[in-house]
Amino acid sequence: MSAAEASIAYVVDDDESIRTLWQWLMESRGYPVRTFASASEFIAGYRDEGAACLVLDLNLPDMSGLELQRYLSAQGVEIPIVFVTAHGDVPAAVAALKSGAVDFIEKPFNYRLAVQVVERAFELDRQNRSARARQTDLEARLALLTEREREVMDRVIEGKANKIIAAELDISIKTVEAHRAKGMEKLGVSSVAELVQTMLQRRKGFP
Amino acid sequence: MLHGPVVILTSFAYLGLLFAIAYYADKRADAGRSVIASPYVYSLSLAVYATAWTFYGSVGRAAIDGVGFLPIYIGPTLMMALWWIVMRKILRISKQNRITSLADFIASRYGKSALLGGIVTVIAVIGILPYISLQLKAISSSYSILVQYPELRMPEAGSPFIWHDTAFWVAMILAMFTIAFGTRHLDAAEHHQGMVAAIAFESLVKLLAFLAVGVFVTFGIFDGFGDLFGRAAVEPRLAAMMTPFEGVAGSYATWVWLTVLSMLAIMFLPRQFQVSVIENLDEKHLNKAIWLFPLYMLAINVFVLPIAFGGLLRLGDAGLDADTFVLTLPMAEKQELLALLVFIGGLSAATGMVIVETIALSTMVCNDLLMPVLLRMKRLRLNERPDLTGLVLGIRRGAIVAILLLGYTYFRAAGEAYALVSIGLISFAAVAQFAPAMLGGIFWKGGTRRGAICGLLAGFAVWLYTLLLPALARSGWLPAGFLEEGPLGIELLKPLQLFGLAGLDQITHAMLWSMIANIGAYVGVSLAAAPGAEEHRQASLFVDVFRNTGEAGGARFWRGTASVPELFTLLARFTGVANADEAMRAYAAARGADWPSAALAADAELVHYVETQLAGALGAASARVMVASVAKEEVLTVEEVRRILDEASEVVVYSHRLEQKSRELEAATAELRAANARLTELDRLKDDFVSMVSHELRTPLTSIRAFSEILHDHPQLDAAQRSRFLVIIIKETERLTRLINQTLDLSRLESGQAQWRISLIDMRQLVEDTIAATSQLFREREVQITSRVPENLPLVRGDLDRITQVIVNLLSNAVKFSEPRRGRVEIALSQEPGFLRVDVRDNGIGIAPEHHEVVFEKFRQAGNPLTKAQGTGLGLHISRRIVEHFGGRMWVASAPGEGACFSFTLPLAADTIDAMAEPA
Repeated sequence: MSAAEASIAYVVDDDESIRTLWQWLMESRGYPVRTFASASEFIAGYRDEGAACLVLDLNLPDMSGLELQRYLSAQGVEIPIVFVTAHGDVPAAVAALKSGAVDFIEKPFNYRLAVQVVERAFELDRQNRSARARQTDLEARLALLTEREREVMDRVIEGKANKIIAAELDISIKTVEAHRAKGMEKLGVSSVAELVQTMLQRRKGFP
Repeated sequence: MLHGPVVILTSFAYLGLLFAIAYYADKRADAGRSVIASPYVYSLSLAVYATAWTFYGSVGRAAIDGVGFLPIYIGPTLMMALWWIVMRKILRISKQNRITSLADFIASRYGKSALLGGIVTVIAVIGILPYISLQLKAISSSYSILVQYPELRMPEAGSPFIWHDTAFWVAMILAMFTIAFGTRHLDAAEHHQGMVAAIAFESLVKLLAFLAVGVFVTFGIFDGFGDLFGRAAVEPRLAAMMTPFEGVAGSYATWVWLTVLSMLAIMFLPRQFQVSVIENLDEKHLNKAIWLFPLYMLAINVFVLPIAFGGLLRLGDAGLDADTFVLTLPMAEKQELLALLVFIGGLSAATGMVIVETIALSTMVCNDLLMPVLLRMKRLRLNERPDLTGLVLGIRRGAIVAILLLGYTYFRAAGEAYALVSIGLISFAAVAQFAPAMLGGIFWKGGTRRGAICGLLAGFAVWLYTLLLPALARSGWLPAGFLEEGPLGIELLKPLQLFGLAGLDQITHAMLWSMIANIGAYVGVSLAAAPGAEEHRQASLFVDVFRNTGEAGGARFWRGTASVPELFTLLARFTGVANADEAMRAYAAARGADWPSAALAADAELVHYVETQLAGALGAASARVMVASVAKEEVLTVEEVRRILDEASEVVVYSHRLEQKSRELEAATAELRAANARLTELDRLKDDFVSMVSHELRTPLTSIRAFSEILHDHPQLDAAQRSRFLVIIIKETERLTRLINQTLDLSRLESGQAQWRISLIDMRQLVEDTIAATSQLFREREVQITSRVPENLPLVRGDLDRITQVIVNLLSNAVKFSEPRRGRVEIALSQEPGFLRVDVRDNGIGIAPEHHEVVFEKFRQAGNPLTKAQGTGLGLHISRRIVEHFGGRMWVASAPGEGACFSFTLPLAADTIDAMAEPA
């Protein structure tokens, strides 16, 4: 695992020993670690540095883990969260999962399993990030289309033949073919099948 | 136009109309659609109070005394205000006991005494005679004056031959009508709905007639009130009349006594008792009558002074009796129709009074005077007659005729000597004698039969002597010297100045003496001798009427044997078979049985029921005699009645106790509910605590487990790393141990199971020892510790180990939150009144004010979260609990960055020896 692709582990726990533990666990596997003793410290110190995962204790002194999760979601921070709970916090953990947490680890945990959970979260974040990147790319390409090209491409996706498109838009078939070729080029697709797939993905939105 | 035949014809037509109204009302009542079931009709029927005396006499009185006529109407108005208390009770008693008359009421109250009923009847009849004669006088003189039209003069004295005397014929005609109104049939409840309807109508007629004259005089002859009173004010004689309490308008004493007298009259005149109590259909009618009746009184009095002044101004010299002004004023103005209307109005007032009064009196004479005597006469074998209704009706009819004839006799004997009002007041004074026995009877259980009899007789005797005899004397029936010099020349016994009491008018004088005699005898004799069994139970039934439920109240006092057929036969004999059958069916239906098929038990309840039914027809005293004739009653002794009453009051007491118990139960339930809520809350707290503890335990456990596993899985780790991890494991293990110990400690403290070893403690010594024990800690963190301990501190009482624990906790906290090397911790002891105070001050990071209480909560820590791993979050909580156990308190003063000072107090031993004698 090269340092370049290493995801970052953010750990928020008020217990010093636990923070030391996570520090060693992640660093010994080559992941950079940022530890925080409270939610407010995290809010103050966090910035997006690439793929990451937040290991969050549910029971924090100033702001509970769930509150921090809500806060981040409201701020538009998209980071996978792994909750660390103590026995008895199961309802809270369920609530956390429902509002989008990736997973939760129950104390006292097996350190290998805990690391695996965090690594899965890393992987998820990587996928999310690339999906978001593709999406951004597609949006940018769509923005390049002229209005006429857009009209033509919409009808191509609907499966209409050039001849029909020409009749509907009251232009010659040749013009339709020209717009279509230009549009395909701008969107970076080589076949109609690829075009339809790309556009469908867009309509479904981010997975 | 105002010839004799016309007047007579009009009068008969009017009486015929009254009869038609009565007949219609009776028919409606039989059909179950009563026309008199209205508070307005009830109030109008009460206005039977306003008789010819009011109609003619008020003006006559006003022409002499001015406003002096008013007390007679102020009294009833005042009394109405008290009716809610007095009359409602009388009504309830009368309905429950099926009272048929005033005499029946009093007789019933004092042990269903036939003697008492008879006395009351005799007093009532004799007392009312002047009043009836007044009505006869009014009708006959108004007739005589009217038919002399257009001449205006007083009629000549009555013809020596009664056959030529108008008054005699008036009496006879009225007797006939009264018989027709009141004794056509026998009603078990003595209701005369037709009569009441006719009376209500008459009340309207007399009011209208009087208002018509009033309006005519004030606005027709004169120019309104202003003009009339203006002219009167010019004449000194008339002006004086408008001032109450002075001179002609009567003294204060007169006003007071006349007011009291009329207050009693409105209750105890037999006719008032008849219309207000016996004829009352619904207790609720009282509510409206309480303001409607005074309104009527006001209306009929508005024009009294104007007519009187008008008469004096216009006819002052014509030699006319002022009593006739109401009639003679329209005549003088040649208003024939108005004069005729006035005559009819006066006729209304007089006939209304006579009809109701004689019906009431005849009921009393029959039920309370004759029947009890006749039924006791074994010779007559009345008990064996199958139907006595005819006999009862016959007696009543005879009584009506007799009473009117007696009234006429009085009129012949004494009527001419007095003005109308004076005659009426004599009657008022007579019925006022009933007041002590009546009012005492419903509010005072102590009043006895003997007391009532003595009071009535004494009062009546004084009345006879001071009012009736003088009236006869003035008419020449007794020697005049009787009045002037006293009987046999004994000055002290002069009837108008008894025992030398002079300076009062005749009525005031008579009232004063008769009331003293009456009340004195009633109360004195009642207190002197204990009441009998029967009196005891009746007193209880009457006075506690609002506490008894229904008619069954009287049944609990009856013990004996009877048979149903006998009781039925008895009932049928006096009320008729149909009525008896109806009554028995009602009785059976109320118990879910069929009459006559089902076998009814001839128990106390049935006997009592039959007795009350009979009482409706015969009066209580007679009914009792009759029931006793068929039901073999065991005689209850006073003791037994007392016991029954006691049992009844025990029931009341039980029911009070039950209520009390039920209230206690409710309270207990509420307490249980509260306790349950507290338990639920405690349970929740316990769950929270367990969850908190488990959470707190899992954190060190996580570190211990993970680092041991790491050490185990990674033998290649370098020595420094290994040692670092091992230190963490050891530290977390220590923390875990501490946590478990403190949790157990806290749980013991909270459940009250902690062991306390109490001794006297020298805090100075304790502080020095503790500093020595924790010196290692201070050296490690390089924090300075100083102590400030004064000499000669008093001892405190407490558990040495526990208090040491508190100070160690505070010192280690102080060290923990102090910066190494720069940290300064000071422990100081000082004395406060009754307490010894310990302060532990540091110069560490401090605590924000909002956390000052939080730090004492379980598992809560404030300040730097970096230090959390070193504490359990229980130390301060436990410390505070320990201090509070010894009666002290613990708090913190601090601000962020300025260090913290934890302080606690402990009570001094001298003050706490007693409180601590028994350690918890």
